[in-house]
Amino acid sequence: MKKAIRLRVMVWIEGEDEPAHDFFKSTSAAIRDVIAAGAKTHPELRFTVKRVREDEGV
Amino acid sequence: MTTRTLPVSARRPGAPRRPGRRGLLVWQLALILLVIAAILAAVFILRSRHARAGANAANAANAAPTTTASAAGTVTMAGDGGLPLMPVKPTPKEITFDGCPPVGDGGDAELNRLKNRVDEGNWVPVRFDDIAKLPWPRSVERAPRRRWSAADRRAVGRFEGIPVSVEGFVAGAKVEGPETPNCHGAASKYRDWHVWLAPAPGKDRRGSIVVETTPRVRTQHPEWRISALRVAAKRGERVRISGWLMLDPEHPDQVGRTRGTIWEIHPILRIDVRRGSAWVPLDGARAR
Repeated sequence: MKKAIRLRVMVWIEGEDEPAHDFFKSTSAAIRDVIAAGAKTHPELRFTVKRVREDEGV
Repeated sequence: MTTRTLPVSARRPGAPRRPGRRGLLVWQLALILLVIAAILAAVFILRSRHARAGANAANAANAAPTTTASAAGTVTMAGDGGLPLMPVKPTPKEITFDGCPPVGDGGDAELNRLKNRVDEGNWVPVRFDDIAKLPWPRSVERAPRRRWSAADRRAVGRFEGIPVSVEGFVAGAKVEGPETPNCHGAASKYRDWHVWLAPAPGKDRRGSIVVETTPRVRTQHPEWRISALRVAAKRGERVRISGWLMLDPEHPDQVGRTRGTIWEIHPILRIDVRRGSAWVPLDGARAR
């Protein structure tokens, strides 16, 4: 049976960066790369990143 | 028995005239005209109502001032007894903080510049409800300022950037997460304090006004402690918050849940706690 699921995962990322540099841009690109790389460990599953959005709290 | 249809020319005098094809056409035409007239009338009524509402709003905006105050720009009290009017707002003073520019590191640059102002103002005392019940255009919700219409900018700009002072009770206080205005600084000294100001003591935040301290302003108040705000909350002490009125369009979903409005006092420049009959600055009001 073919199944599908949509997961929301909250990820906390830390790192060094220039103060004025757009941290969202670099981290959202990084998380896509991380998922793409990790997906290879599960060839039976197909991963698609639908959206990356910053959680801005309250 | 046989029946016979009389030709039209042979109709008996006084007999009812049956409508012919031409008569039907006339009736249909009349009906169509009637419907068009009704639609036009409805449009006319709706437009005149809309124009009247616009005129009323313009009159309210231009209402005669009743009081004057301030030196940081002319402040006049709105004719309807609400918030003060300040046609010319003080220009925000901006600084770069630990390498982080006033626009932050992304997001809504214009909003970040407002959040990151550091200038003192001539705080005008206003009632809690003046802010809590201040409306905003729904079309600005979740929209960055660069996409706002001129009309929305005018509506928000009427009150945004006014230096206000409001009394209330702390319903809660937390250290915010890393955000664009603070260049996503991870350490707590780079994060805002998110404070819920309520009209009555207690933890009910549904009707609260969100008021925030920023890292840049806290460098001027090294003795401010978030724990002192929590103590004030626990004791049900009255506090007075002074800062810049600002509209944060990013969290309309929280209205009625963890806040009463998307109008904020942001940044806070001064916090006083009521102790007995005196106002004590939070700088010197550590839990005693």
